[in-house]
Amino acid sequence: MSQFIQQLINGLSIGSVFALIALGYTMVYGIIKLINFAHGDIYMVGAFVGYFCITRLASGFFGLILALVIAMAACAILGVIIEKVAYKPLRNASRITALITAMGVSYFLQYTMVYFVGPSKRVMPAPFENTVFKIGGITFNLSTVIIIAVTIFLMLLLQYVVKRTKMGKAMRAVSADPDAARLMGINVNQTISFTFAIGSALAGAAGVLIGIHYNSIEPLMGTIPGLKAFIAAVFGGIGIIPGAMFGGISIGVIQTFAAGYISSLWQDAVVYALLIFILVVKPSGLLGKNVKEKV
Amino acid sequence: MKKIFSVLAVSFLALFALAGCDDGGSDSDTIRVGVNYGTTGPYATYGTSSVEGTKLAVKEINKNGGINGKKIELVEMDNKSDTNEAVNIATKLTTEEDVVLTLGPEVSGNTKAAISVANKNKIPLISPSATDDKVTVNKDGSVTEYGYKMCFNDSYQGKALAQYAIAQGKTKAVIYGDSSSDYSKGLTKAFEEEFKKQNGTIVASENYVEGDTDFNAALTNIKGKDFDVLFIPGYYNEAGLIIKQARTQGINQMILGADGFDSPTLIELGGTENLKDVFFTTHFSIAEENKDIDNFIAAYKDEFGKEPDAFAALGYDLGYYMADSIERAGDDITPETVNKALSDTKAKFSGITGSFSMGKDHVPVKTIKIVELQAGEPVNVVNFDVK
Repeated sequence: MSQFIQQLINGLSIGSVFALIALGYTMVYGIIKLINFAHGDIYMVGAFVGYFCITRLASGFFGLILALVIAMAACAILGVIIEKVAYKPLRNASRITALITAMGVSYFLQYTMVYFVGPSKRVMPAPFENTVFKIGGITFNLSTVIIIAVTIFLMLLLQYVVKRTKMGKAMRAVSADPDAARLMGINVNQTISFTFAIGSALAGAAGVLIGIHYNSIEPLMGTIPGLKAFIAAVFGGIGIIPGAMFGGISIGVIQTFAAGYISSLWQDAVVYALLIFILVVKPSGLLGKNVKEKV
Repeated sequence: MKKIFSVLAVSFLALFALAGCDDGGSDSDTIRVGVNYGTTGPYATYGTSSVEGTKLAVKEINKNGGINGKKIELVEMDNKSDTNEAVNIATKLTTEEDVVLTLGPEVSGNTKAAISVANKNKIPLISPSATDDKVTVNKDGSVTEYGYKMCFNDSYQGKALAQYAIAQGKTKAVIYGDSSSDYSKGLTKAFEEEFKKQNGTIVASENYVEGDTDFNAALTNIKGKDFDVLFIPGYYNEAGLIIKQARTQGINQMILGADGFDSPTLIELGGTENLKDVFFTTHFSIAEENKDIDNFIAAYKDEFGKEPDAFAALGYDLGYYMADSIERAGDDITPETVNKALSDTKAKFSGITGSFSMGKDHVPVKTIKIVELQAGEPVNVVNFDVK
């Protein structure tokens, strides 16, 4: 039993990070129907910004908060720049064009980072004493608690922004119908930029948290979590915010249980098999509604 | 019109051919040696250390008059720890750079790929640290004519670790290996065979792939098993994180590893408080007390401002061994005569990583060192004889 709970905690801690990244995918998809493959690399940039904050600016819990805030701000700006430079000119182009551009942006970010910091793994120092808690047979780090707590906080904040604020209303309106939204006087460009900013900021936060949790970062670290988060978004229903949260946590837990109870060699295979299964059985994702194509 | 083009093309070709001849080994005062390592990329610390060790040795040799008055010149290239790049550089070195032999790469997969180029172009290659058993074996089972190594085989490390664990009274082992690397598979196989032969049991086997960062799921599984030794046949990037996560989860059993552990990054990633009861096989340790080793450490610190690791020591020995072989090749120094000198099984060589003579299989016959880590520090070094 304690082993089961331990695996559940292991799964929740990776799952919440997948969820944070998946939110960015899902928000961008919801608003401009683009799968932003560069999203995983924004997460990587966030980790590096966090690294420089913690090593150069401040340590301790204050250092962590400062690193989170600066990384989120930096990633938000980066996200907006990417949107303006790479995606906006292609907004009326075919979706495959934008998709391939997104892959290009992804490689651009990865190898720009390799150029500046080198391809080797770097050790991210813990900004605080990473205390180990032992309750019964279960052990977990302080960083695990922080990851889950920060994730929950950011998700609640996001829910508030989307549901209760004017900007959130605008986002929902643009997502539903950009042309009608424009007719109603909503600044569509600004709303899209805002969506990129929020999604990227969440990825930046995930990068800092993961960097601290596993105390290592590298320029290609975003590829696999990015892919897993994408699966999580599709799993929960791409374009739906609660779907991304649900999908992220599910993928984390499923992956962990697959490693724990089937075989560690099979964990990725199980996740990818699940993606195929969902796409065949319910293409709109678990929480997705079947939307009829307008004729 | 066509004719003019072909005439132009031919004259251009001729020009290039002549240009190629220009630096064709006319300079008889230097002996050119190719260096093909990954000084960036995932195995960067191995490559960088190896190159630094070799450079130090070459500097000392050249300062003491070189080889019969001829200076050694290293032609260095970085293969970014990538197999394709290692082949490209091996080709470049053996076809364009006019070298008598090449050194490196440092890891087995890249070395294997580079040796195929060495065999094709008939220029000998020595790797200081490619421990995979098959590195010096061709596809048909014969020994690679131009490929050598200066370290022991994986099977030898796996075998040594199994015997060492048994000697410490450990009989129940868990193996947590990298399913994406030949290195890890080779070690696992040898360890398993020997451990079982000595009446030990393998309680469980788990796997990860290179680049993984979360090992908690498999470790939770391992924690639930009844075992007394955990063997991690892998490289420091993942091994460091595994050790950290294992110790955090309360896995306090003895941990064994091979020379892939030998990097300061292992200790940085794992954290000093977690690196206790960790034992690994290696070629060299600064914790060992020996006069030659002390001299080397002092010289290395002087040159590079840091302490050398095993790869630096192997690189250093490789520098001297290479010079020794070139000297034995006689007056006419060509890839062919150097190859002949290298394959001589009678010639004894003594260095800081041990004394050895080259075996018939192009693998040296050497003793193995087992280092014990406590609180992130090497506290004990055993010279272990494998039976």
